[in-house]
Amino acid sequence: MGNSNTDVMIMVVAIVASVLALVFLAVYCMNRSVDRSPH
Amino acid sequence: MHLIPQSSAHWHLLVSVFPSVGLIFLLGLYAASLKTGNKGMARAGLVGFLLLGLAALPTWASGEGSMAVSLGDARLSPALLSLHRLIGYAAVAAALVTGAAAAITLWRARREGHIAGAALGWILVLALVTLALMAWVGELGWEMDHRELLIPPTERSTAQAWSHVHIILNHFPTIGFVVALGFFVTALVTDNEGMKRAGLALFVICAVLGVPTFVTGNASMWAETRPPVEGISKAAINAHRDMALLSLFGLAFTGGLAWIELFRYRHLQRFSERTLYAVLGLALVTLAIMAETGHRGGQINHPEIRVATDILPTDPALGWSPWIEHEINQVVWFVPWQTVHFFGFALIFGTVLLVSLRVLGFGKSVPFAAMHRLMPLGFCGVLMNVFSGMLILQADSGRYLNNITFVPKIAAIGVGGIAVLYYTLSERVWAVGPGQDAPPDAKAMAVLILLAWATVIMGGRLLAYV
Repeated sequence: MGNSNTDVMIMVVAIVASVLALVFLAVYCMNRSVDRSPH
Repeated sequence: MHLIPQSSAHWHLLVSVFPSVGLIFLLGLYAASLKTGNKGMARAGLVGFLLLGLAALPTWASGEGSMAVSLGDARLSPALLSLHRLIGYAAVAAALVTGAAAAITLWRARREGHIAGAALGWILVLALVTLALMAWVGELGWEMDHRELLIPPTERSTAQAWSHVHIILNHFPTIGFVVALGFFVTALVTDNEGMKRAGLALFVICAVLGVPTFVTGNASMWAETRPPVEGISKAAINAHRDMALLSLFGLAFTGGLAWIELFRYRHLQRFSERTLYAVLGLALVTLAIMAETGHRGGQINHPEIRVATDILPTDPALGWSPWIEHEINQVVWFVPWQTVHFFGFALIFGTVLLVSLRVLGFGKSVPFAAMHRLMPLGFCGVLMNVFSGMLILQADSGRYLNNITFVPKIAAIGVGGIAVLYYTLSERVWAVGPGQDAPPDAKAMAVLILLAWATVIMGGRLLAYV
């Protein structure tokens, strides 16, 4: 299909890293927003 | 497209789902009000029963109005039509009685200053009887108007059972959203915290139901096009599923923000007004997108509602869906999104495992509230997997959907996604402090949640091998 193994590996790392970065940013924000909670 | 229905048949399709599917959601909210003793919510439920009773009238009138056209339609069975009409009369009468009982109870509550508890119970029974009749008449209507459902499975690449489920299920996120919006706006106006939570929870439930709706829609596409069914065009289906993809995004954003606010309320015991209004705005936009999706869906196989100005698409290669199908089949796109999907599973299962284990009695020194702070990780996992899962599905939906493990997987997503709301809504489990044991019903829910998500993983993994 015209894509080398290297292309696929780069795409896996790039997309997974981007998605996880967004996820952990969202989780960090959600937890910060409840930090004033007694719990 | 035409925004206002031009015929009784079109009005009937549009209005009839409110006293039937709408009643299911209203019953859920009403039962929640009785369980929590929230009088404002019970009153809103009674107003809802009254409105649905009134909605039964245009349902009946539009049904009678379309009778002449229906009798002349060779596709429709006269015997099924007359049974649909007969049960329809009973269902409309039951809806009117329920609505009238709700109105009398509201009127007496206004006069006496409080709602009579016994009356609330009786109205619940009346509403359940109405729902049973509405389900019967609705099913007859769907069977009558969708003759393609009778095509034997041996003549199809994908069973028509999927289409049958889809034409029923697609009304749940749409009509559920209308009920949720009505409740949510009333909650904002009356400043009723319990109702605000109920409205937010219903937005989340509708979003979860959007997943099986989208999936069954994909299966219906193959059931209707391989081999082709007369009068059904792939181009019209593609136009519908392009909009369905947008609906799924709208549901994910609205349901996602609603869940975040439920999570924040759980910890802070107060709402952010800004977020509540943002949920309202997103819900209105999503409802508009779903209305257009529904209209395009109706155009696929309801020639009786088409008017001269409706121009149906004719090129099946146009639109986003064929493009996504092509691109996701390239290994350079498929493998990264599949990897994201596995990370999503890890986040979901890791989170529900830890929280459920605490509920089941492991690590009792940790209060439940502390474990609950892990929930955003699982929530993000669900969002990741809805998005990546829908992309992966497009790579070979005809094959995936016909796999024996796909049905339990999708059913378990619905069960697991809705049941996990329990951890964020239940007051009793929230009160479980350090060293304390969770109540037995919480433990039963923990087992259900773990089993549901384990089924999702096993069902998905087996897709490639059985």
